[in-house]
Amino acid sequence: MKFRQVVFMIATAASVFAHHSFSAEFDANQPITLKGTLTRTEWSNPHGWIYVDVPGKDGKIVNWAVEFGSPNALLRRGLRRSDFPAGIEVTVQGSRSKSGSPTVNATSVMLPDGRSLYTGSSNPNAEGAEK
Amino acid sequence: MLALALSAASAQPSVPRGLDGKPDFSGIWQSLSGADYGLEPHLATLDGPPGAGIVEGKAIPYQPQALQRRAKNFAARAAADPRNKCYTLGTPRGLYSNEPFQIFQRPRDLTVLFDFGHPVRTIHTNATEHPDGHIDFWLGDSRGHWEGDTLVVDVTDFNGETWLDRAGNFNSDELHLVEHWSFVDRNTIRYRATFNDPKVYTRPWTLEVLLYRRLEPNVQIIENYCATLEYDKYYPFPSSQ
Repeated sequence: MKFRQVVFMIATAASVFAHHSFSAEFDANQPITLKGTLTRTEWSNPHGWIYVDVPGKDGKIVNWAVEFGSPNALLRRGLRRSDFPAGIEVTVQGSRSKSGSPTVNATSVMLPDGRSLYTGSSNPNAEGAEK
Repeated sequence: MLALALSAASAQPSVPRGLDGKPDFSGIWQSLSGADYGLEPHLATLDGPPGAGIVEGKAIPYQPQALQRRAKNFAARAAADPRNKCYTLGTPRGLYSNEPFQIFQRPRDLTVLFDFGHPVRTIHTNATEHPDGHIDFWLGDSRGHWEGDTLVVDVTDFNGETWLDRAGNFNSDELHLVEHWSFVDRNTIRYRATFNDPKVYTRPWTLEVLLYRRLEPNVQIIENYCATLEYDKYYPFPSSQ
C-alpha cells in the first residue's frame, strides 16, 4: 500500500518534468486528434509542452497537456516558441496517455497558418520521431 | 623605468590563474549579503533580517503593473516564493542566496554547482552563441567572454518561473542579464549583474555583491533536493548505518 502511494505521488508530482520512454506513459494504440485553443507553452528540456483547451462531448472544456520533443528537435523541424502564442487554434495528432489523464504525446501539430509540422515525438514508430 | 613597471605589476592583486592565464574562479563561494531576504533596502520582518540592499540606486525600476505584482508576491511569499516550492533558485538568485556554490573552471567553460535543487549551470567561454529561438531554461543560457581579467557573461532564455529574492522581486522570460565577474583579491569576487527586461522594468538596473571563498577545511556542496523531503518518510534510512 505504501509503495503504491509513493509511486502514485511521484508520478503525479514529476510527470511534467520527467524524461521517460514513450511506452512507459503513452499508448501507440490510442491515436487521438485534438482541436482547441492554446493556453500555455513550456519550451523546455527534455520535452517541450503545450496546453490546449478542448471542448469535450459534454461541452466541458478540458485543458490537455501535449508533449513535444526537445526544443532542439522542434527547431530542426521548423517549430519555435514564437509560433505558439496563447489563444491560437491548433490541431494536434498523437497518442493518449495510458493513465487516462488528458495528456498526449504529439506526432504533429497544425498551426493557424496551415503549416503542419512534426513535433519530434518520442514514439519510435511515429513519423518525424526524435531519433 | 624598471621601478615604475615593478610597482605597477605589484599593484595588481595576486589572483589564481588557469593554464590559459585567465583568472581562475574555481572554488566554493558564498555571499554574506543577505540579499536573498530582499534586494532593495528593507526593515526586518518576522521571516527575515533587515538589509541595506544591493541594488544600485536602491530601488528596482518596475513598470507600474509589475510593481503591483511584486507587492502581491510579497504578501503571498510564504506560499508563492518558488524557493518554498523547492523550485531551483535560478540565475542570479542562486549566487547570492544563503547557501554556498562551487565553480569548476577550464578554458572552454565554467561549471557552477549549487546546493539547493542541485542544478548545474554551464557558462560557455568558447566563443559560441546563444541557441536559436527562445528556450525556457530555469538557469538561462550563459555565454561568457573575457574583457581583460573580467569575465563578462551574457544570459538569455529564461523561463520566467523564478524569483530574485524572498521579497517577491522578479523578472520575466524576456530578461537579458549581463554579468561581470572579477577578483577583488584571491578570496573575494566582485559580482555585478545588469538586468534588462522590457516586460517588467522601465530601464536596465544593476546589482552588486561580493562573493567570499569558503575556507573551512570540510566545506563542500551538499545536495539539497528539497522536493524529495516529503517522501523521506517512505524511505526510512536504516538506523544501523
